[in-house]
Amino acid sequence: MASRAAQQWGTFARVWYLLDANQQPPGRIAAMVSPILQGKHKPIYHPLSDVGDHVVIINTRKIAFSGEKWDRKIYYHHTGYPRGFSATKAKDVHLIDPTKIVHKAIYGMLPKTLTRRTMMQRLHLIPGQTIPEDIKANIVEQIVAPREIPKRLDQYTQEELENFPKLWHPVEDPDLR
Amino acid sequence: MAAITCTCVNGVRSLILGRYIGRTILRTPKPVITDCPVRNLKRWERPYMLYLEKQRKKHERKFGPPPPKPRSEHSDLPWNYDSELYAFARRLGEEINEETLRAAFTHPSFVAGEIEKRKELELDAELDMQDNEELSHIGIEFISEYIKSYLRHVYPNFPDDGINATKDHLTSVEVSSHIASHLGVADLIKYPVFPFPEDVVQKTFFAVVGALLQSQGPDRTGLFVRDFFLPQLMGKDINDCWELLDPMGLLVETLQQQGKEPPQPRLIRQTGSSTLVAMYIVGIYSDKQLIGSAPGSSILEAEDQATRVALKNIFGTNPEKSPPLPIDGPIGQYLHASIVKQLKGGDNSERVAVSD
Repeated sequence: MASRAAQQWGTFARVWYLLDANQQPPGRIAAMVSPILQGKHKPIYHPLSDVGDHVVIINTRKIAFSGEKWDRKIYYHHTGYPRGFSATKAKDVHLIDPTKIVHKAIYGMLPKTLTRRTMMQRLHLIPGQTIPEDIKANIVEQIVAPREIPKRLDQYTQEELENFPKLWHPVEDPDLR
Repeated sequence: MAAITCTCVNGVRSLILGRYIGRTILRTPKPVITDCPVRNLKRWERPYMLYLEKQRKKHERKFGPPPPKPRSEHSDLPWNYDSELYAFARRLGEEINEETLRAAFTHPSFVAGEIEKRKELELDAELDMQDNEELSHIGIEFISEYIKSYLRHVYPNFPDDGINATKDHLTSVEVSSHIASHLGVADLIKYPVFPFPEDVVQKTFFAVVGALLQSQGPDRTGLFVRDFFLPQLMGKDINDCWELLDPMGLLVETLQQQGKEPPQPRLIRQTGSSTLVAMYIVGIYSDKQLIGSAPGSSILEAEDQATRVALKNIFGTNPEKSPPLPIDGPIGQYLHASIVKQLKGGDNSERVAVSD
């Protein structure tokens, strides 16, 4: 095996992951990303060891809440000052800052310790597709997104539509005319 | 140093001030009912012992620790050199000629010192004392040959340079004097200056092996070398003994000799390239087969490490993949027998001896 120093360097190296949040539910993304930021996927894990990896999430603007959460989900915040309480719907929060929803989701799923802020520093949220060059150079792995994105009708080719199995063929009924 | 003795039914118990304080004074002893007049510590003993210890520590803080004394001068030991010599040989389980053993422990400068003292006292300058110069040469030669032969048998593909480097490490001053001190060789040395320098201890140890060789022969001496020198390699990567400055050159040469394709380094994995803690894993391929891979903080470092791993794999000395040294057990015994045969046989053996 390599020298002890080289082995140690390889063991404790931090890996940079990429996750595409297009059409993904933010909660499920957070549930996948949180153990990676903590380092729980590594056999050398210890809560105090700071062995978490970096995660770069792109297309956070395109996240997809299920149901009517865009209207119903409220994010509450109190500034600490009198009359500082606010209740904002998810859609408004998303308009103000397209990364905030994902940020809050992941922040809430990390352990509530002093190491949480360090882990959040290793989370990189990008609203669009363009990744800064220095971050792009670091990325090595991709996390498979939790939700399988369904195809829209206009995304099917003519061949696929024709070959799709049909239950019944609509026939012109002369009596209905 | 005062001593308090107590003669109980159980035997003589003597307390020596300053030495046994931690053990006996500061802990309440178990009450034992005997016909002994001093049953336990008197009321004044503990404060007195503590006072003496304080004085000793004060003296030590002011003047430093007391200078080291040779074992023969420890005041509470009855030291008889002849008995100690005999006990030394018996402790090792070997029978060594007494004269040879005495000579083995006598350093040439000690003999020179004795001759000078005699001259000063105007006695006969002729002294019948033998020194350990010749014995140490005999000893080191045997040890080197045995170790080299052993390593050659265990690692047939390891180059001569590596085996010699390992042999040099095992017979180096640090390792030999470490083994010698733990066997009690250091207490019996005759040398004018105390504390003995490490190379004197090393020389004496080799002389002891030489004495053993002269008394018992290569078989027993080989077992001695095997049992005391070779376990120093346990847990140690023997490739570290060998300082390789150009691993890639050696790898190219070795693959060429074996008739294989030249090595091709490739970057296998990497992470964090733009950060300070970048990590690259480079693999060395020969004929599209991976022969070694290693991580590193830069591509060059990773390539260097990977080349060394590839060499270890080719030589069969990779500690992760090779079995532990067969020191004992059926393989070890057979190995020892074949080594002794080779050492005795000289040029008639099948295996080529390792050249220096």
